Amino acid sequence: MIRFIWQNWWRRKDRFILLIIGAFIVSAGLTYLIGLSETNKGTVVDNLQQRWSASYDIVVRPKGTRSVTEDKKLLEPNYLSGMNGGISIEQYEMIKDIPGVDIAAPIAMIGYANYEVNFGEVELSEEGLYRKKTTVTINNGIDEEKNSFNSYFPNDVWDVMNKGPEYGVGAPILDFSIGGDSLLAGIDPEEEAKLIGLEEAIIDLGSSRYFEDTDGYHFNEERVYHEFPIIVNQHAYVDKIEEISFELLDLDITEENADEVMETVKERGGGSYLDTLDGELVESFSSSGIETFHAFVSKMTGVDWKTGEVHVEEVVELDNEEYVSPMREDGVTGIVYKPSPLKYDEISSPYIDRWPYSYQLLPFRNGENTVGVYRNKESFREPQLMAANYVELPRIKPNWIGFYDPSNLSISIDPTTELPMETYRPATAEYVMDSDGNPMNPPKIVKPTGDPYNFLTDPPGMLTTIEVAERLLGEKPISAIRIKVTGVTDLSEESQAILEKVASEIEKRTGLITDITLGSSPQLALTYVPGLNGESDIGWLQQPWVNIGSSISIFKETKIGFSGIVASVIAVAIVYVWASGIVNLLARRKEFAVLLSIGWRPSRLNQLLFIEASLIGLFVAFISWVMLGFVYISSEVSISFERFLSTGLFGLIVYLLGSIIPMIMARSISPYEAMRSGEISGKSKRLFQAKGINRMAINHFIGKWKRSILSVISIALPTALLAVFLYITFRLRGIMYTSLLGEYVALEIGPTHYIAIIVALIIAILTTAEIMWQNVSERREEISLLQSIGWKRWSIRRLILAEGVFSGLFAALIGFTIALMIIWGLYHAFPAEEIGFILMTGLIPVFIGVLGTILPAERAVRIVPNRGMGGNISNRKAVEKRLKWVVISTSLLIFGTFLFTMVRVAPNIEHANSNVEVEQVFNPTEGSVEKIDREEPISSRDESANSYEAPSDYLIELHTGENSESKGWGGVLFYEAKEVESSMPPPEPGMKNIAIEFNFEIRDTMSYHMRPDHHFTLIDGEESYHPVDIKIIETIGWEDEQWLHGIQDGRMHAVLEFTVHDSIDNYGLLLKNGTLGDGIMVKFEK
Amino acid sequence: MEKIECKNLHKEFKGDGTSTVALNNINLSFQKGEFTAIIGPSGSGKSTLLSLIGTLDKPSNGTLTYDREEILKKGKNKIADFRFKEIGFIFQQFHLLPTLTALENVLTPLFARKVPYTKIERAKEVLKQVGLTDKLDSLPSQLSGGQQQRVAIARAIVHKPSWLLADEPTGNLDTETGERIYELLKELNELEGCGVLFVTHDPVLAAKASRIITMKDGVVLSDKEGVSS
Ligand SMILES: Nc1ncnc2c1ncn2[C@@H]1O[C@H](COP(=O)(O)OP(=O)(O)O)[C@@H](O)[C@H]1O
Ligand SMILES: [Mg+2]
Repeated sequence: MIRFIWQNWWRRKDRFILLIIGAFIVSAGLTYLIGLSETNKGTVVDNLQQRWSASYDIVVRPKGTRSVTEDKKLLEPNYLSGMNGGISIEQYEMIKDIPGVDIAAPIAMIGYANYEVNFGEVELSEEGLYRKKTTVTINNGIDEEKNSFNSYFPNDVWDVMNKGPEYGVGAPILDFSIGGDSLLAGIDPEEEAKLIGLEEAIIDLGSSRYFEDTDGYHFNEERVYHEFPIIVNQHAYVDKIEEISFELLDLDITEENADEVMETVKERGGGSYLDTLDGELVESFSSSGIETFHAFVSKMTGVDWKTGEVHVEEVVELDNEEYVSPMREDGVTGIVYKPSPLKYDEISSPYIDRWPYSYQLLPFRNGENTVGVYRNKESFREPQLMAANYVELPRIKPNWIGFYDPSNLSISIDPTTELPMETYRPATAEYVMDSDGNPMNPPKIVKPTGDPYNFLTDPPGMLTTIEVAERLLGEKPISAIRIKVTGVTDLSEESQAILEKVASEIEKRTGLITDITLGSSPQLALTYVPGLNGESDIGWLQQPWVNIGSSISIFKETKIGFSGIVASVIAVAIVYVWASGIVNLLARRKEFAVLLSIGWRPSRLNQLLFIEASLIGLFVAFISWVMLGFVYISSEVSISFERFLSTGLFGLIVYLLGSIIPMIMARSISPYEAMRSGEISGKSKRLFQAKGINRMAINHFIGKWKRSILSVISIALPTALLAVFLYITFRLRGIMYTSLLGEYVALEIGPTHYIAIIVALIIAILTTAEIMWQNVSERREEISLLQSIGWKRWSIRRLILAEGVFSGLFAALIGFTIALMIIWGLYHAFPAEEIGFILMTGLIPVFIGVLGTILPAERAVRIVPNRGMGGNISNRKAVEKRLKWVVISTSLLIFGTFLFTMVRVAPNIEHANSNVEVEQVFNPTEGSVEKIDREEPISSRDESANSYEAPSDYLIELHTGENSESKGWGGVLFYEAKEVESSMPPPEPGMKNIAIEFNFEIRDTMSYHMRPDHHFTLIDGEESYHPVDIKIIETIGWEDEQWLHGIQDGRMHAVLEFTVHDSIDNYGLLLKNGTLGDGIMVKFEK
Repeated sequence: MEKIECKNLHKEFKGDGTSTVALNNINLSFQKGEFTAIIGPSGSGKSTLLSLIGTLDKPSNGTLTYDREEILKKGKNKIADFRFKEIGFIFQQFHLLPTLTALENVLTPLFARKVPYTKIERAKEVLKQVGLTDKLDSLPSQLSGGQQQRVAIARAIVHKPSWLLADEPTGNLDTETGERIYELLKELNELEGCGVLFVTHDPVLAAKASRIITMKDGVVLSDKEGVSS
């Protein structure tokens, strides 16, 4: 039997090649879609689900804490850290009792606790007047801020007792004490452990441990302080260096002349006079914020920070020295400031395509009554004191019990795509543009400064219990409660429904406000940070904000999009297998009838068909397995065994299913058919009279409507899905492109979809080819007749091609209808805007119809009158051998190509995934910035116009004396630039002035962005200069000093003044804006 | 099987509203060992009659009995088995499978059948019988029409049927070759003793048969003895 089948295939090589190609494409398509990209699909959705899942599903907040940004469903990052109180313990208990609430983790931001470390004391041997200089250098990521503060004191020469401040000196303070602030927050240890695994994040260091039931709050009546347990964040985020130095002033002062000298000091201005004096360094000490924090930790724990060894260090000893400030006694410290939120104002984004959301920070203007440092000054947040009077400020004695490492918390740890909803990490922010709109290249990462009222919030550095928070803050200590609901595991509408129920229950019972955070995704937003207290504005920060609940719909679309595509490819593959099975049967119908008439059982025919299908199916499975195996070996794609197995089995099943229809059809073959000569089905329907080629083609197309439908369906299905997919992509881009989620989805899913469609379309081509092939075979008498009555070859070709075009047109029509129906079903919308490109996809089926018909048409024109089909069945040894090689090499070629593509494609899939991962670990948002850049040519051009990269190719390059006309641009614009005498005053030595006069004239109706101060740069190798002065001599059609309009005959004639390094000889003037592509370069060479 | 009997055989083809009566009230019986020629103008129902007798099709009315057995009432596979056992078909267009060699073509009826002889030997034997010993491995396309028809005859007799049904076996051949094919059939009839029913347009060939049935418009016009008997 197998031999019989084999002979049948082998001796019809053209058909056999077609069959093999089909098998290859089907197996390659399935391998890719099921074996490889299914993995991919899994990871896309899973990744999104895991990566962007907040640890909580609902957040409960007090009324009135919604910021303006929430109008747009946006939450600022770490919004929890800026809140302070509002929910009572009672309400918290109520929430805990609501059915469905699995975890309810309260958080109470208490305030900023000081800590201070004494690093020892200076030893002063000589008498004299000393300066203690404290310099604090804070790096906020944008620049370094240096603040120094001097104090003066006499050593052994003069008694400062009862002397006023006018002398500029005070009592000696000899210690090297350095301190900091740390946000103290209250949590419920049990719930927090359940929610984010805080207990697991406790570091095993010395006696470090988590809260226990016995850890209690204690109020020391006698010395008036609150004593309570804390666990401390292992990380310090502030990048600061504090330096303390002692200098002996260069002032001749002795015990004898001291009074005299001090009077002079007083006369000359006291402290400010002393500031002018030189001093001789005696001793200095510096410590970074981290070192200080670690020392603090060591002091608290008695455990060495790194080694974990218990130690008795100087620091500890020195701490027992006699000089102890009241606040610092026995680790007693105070809390002064409470956290407070930022205030935003919505503004329109300068780059709406890139950052659809933009806000401006509204600084707070402090009045006369504000506490010291902020009095009459501006701050980013409104300072809020723990108590109105200094004496009422709570004194606390936090008892260290443990350290936690926030990176070990079970919260998403992905800085780029992390949902900045957890309080345990500082909010990320990138400084992307200065206040003039000049982009930072690369953007700078902004760091927290440790100032409680800075624009970046610090995560809590110390955690204690809610009970403590209540003692310190009073009745309503809790600022927010994070809720995890039972039965909510994935992003789905069911989850959403459950959450909505629980949320409304909470609102009903407590009167608090709730927000469902499930399905939130990060959203890059741009914030304009103004300068405080008259300083120049800082500029634009880009931060991932939280886009509340935006993902669910996208997930739906993505899932539908992807599974729809996979389903359609599979459907098309099945249609193809059917079509080829049916065609195969039609072609062999008579043969089968003969076999029946010579005594074959009908069941044997079915057996034959089944075995044939199994053989191709196994072949497909084998190819898939080989490909997968090869991909597996040659790239690091891991494929699960089940998937591996199922990919191959799937191909087999498709072919086995594909044999069903031919088997059913075979039952209707009557042995009697063998008796009949001539045409098998003489009953083709005719609608039109056969006049002309097109009519004939239509007649034939309709006459064989059953098989025509097959080819139409196989073309229409992928076309329809292509249209739908494009529509979804456009929608995703339109609505969500600017969100990280949308971008992620677009990036991850696009290529796979397109490949799937291409596979489907290739299969459709094959299907059409198969069917047309059969049509041509059946009509060979007709065709040879037409030839013998003198038809030209071209007419015959046209006749067959016309049929392909009809299939295509039909498929386009059907595909279009299906697409509209799907779109309507999904969105209840008619794609009015996108109708254009949906119609465009209609070209594809026609193209495919024609493509599928070319081969059969060629075959048709080669039919020689009166010669049968027997021509391609030969047994001559030489021919046999040659054909054998042709078949083998063709197969190998196809196989190799597929394998190659698979190997190339597969790692890319993985890369796409791992890239995101790597990026997220090492380099937060840079990747996405670039990504967007690529999509946004205009802004990227703007950006590189200002960046100092080496010039490469320009839109136009001119040399001295040339103008745009000489480069063939005269019809578009006229531009020339020449060096002129500078009219600027001579610059400082080492610099020189260059003046360039230019003429820019628009000669068509285009508008150009034209801001001479921004768009012109003088470039010399690495260096580039912006004009220092611009003299406009004449300008026409220059709107808002920004836009030059061609319609108004826009022109500009001006002189640009540059101040450059003396050494510059050869330089270029680059005019570059969003409308001039790579810009126009004029080279000046000496 | 000794005897085939047709009683009131009636065959009508229906399609697209029209119906064609191909056979009308045919009453005939055939004995094994007869050499019968069926003649008549084109469209007179000869092929239809042959296909009914060969169980390739079923009559619209009437009965066909083979040694009193109504085979056509049985299932398709049973009918196929019967065909295999008793009937060999020869067609005007030869109907060899183009992808198989002469030998393979001859072997096709034996496919997946249990037979008491070696299939290959038997196939070679019958090919020898039809005089094609040197063309065993040729594809049909490499054979002349007469050779192809001889392969077809070999295929028809390889399973030792009791009846040979030939529908215009010489129709596509020149007179001389046709003559030789005819002789071959005659020889088989005499040597193997199988009943031969053959349709022909050639009155000369028909005249040589032992029984001549003339048909027209679906009815038997005459049924008479031929020269040879
Ligand atoms: N499958 C069929 N469908 C419709 N009509 C048929 C079919 N087979 C035969 N006929 C008609 O039956 C009549 C007898 O045909 P046939 O037996 O082939 O004649 P002959 O072999 O004598 O030329 C003819 O009129 C023919 O058109
Ligand atoms: Mg006939």
